[in-house]
Amino acid sequence: MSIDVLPETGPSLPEGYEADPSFVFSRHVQERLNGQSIYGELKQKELDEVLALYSSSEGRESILLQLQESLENPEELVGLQGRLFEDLHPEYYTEEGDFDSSVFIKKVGTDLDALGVQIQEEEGWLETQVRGMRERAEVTKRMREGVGDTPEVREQQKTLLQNSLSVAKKVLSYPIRHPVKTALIASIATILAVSGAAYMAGGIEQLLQQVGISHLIGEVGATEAAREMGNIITAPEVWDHSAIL
Amino acid sequence: MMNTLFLTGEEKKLFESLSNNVKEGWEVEIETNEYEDTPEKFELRLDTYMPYDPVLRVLADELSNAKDSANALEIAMNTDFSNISEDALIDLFYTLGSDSISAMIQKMLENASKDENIHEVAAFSVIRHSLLSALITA
Repeated sequence: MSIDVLPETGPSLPEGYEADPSFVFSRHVQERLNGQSIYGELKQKELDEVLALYSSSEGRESILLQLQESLENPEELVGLQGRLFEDLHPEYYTEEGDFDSSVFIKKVGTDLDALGVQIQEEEGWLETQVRGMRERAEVTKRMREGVGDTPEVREQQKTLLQNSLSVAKKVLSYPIRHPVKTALIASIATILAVSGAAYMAGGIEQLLQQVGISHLIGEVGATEAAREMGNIITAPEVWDHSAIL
Repeated sequence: MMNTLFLTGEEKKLFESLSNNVKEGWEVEIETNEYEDTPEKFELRLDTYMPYDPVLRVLADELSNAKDSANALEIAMNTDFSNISEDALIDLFYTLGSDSISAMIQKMLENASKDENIHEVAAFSVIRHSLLSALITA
């Protein structure tokens, strides 16, 4: 999918930016939602495709509708851009994390190109997210339906997977301390916390500390820890039963 | 009847090193599907993960409301996963990724001492096989 060339931002800043810098982003978002941008394309093509893949399941449909709503809602997009902006330009923020509009105005006032680059980066990020959603939809659909050249092979694989998932569910429900259960629950808790589904008091680091594997995270934080999921799963504490799950 | 293990060459060696009574009745098929997972792909899967299953939604909410990490741990331990849907598990294993499942299979084989352990290996190897097949054809 191609990304539209950014429209000319013009020599002057959008009206109102001095009072509220976020207006700049709001306006850019609004313009793009009105038709000429990647957001419009995503709405009309990519998201519809993804949604179609999910059409057989009410649960998955609701997820996709949430995504669609968030992409269609300019307020959500402004929030999204605000978060990206903060990540991209920490120089506009004080040590206390407050936005310093004087620095922003000075910078943006002389560097509209940089603003354009930033918006392109944000659009690229959004495109990646949607691509990720689409792959998730396609792959999990194939898993559910089975992969194979003939209906018989697909049905066989589907049944095998269903039986295997039953075993995984049984492992999760073991009433005893069990390393595979520990590894799975630590993985699920990490996924929930790192994906942002659960904002855990004390953080995922502390939970894993309780399990006995927090040293795998060290000082790098939960996101980096997620990259090391294999290490969490294979931690000696999990497999020698000293982890307390 | 689920009696086939889909194992890599290295995993097959681990399986063959087990005692005969543990191996009895199981067949090994070499996992030929290859997929290169990366930290970036994993991060994207985490970014796009949303728990829609009621069991996971409740768990996420309860973890969010946990008083402290000990309480969070207690919640995770006491969660009843018996009603989690197949779709939610598929989504979780997709998010986890093939490399993580492989890491788990290796440890399971290293620690296997009875037939029940091989049942678990077989299940995880089928889940990985299904994931890899789906990824490759996607």
